[in-house]
Amino acid sequence: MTEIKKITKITLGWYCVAGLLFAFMYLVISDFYFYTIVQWPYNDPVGLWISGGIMLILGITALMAIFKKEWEEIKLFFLFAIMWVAYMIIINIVAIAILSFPETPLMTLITNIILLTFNLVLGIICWMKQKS
Amino acid sequence: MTEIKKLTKISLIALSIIYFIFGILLVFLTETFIGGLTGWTNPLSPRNFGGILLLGAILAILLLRKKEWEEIKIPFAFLFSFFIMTIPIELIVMIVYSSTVPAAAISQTIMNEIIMCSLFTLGIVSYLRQRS
Repeated sequence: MTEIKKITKITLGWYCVAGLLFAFMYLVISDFYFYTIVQWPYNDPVGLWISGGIMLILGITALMAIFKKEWEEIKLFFLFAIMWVAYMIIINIVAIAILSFPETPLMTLITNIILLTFNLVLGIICWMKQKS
Repeated sequence: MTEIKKLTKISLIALSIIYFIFGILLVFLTETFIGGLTGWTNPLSPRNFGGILLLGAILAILLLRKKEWEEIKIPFAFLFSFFIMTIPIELIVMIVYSSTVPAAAISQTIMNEIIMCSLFTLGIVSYLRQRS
């Protein structure tokens, strides 16, 4: 059994904060955030809420994982979180490449990609440190 | 250390099959599955969720290879807790938008709700049996 390192706990804490923050934006203030601030050009009442709901689950699970003691207990969840972040980066890049967005949503997508890349790098560093 | 019970493995197999099917539908057939049924045009959010489902299917298969319950407890709870959010959100959205979407979309939502409720119940029963 391997102990969970401090950097992994910090990363989980960060994933928790990010998950809860995005859950708030996607679930609670989705109409205001997407259609007023971001000026999202597509209509979809269900996809945004479900994305927010899943981010809430991610945030809560990351919070629960912080209190675990053994790396083996959270290893697969951590792997899922890293894979999820990597997938989100890819899908956002593909969306920018294929679709044409107005300036504000485009800037939001680019900001998301930058934040997600930071999360991915942090996750990979933790994974490697935890394995060494 | 607790051994993983047969019911838990069955629920993981069922979950991976359903997540895989819906993941493929949402990622690769978004315009037909969502746009064709409801007229909603967002190309990104359903693909985000579909990708999460595909990753969830992969995670469920990885969990099947483990031998100890303690190793899969957190990811197992994480995968099944998606339904805590998706069941009420899909239901609320369909009630609110029932007058603006065609009957096929309502029929699809009812089928989704039945599948999700069945899987969620299976997950809860497996979790409780595993703990007892």
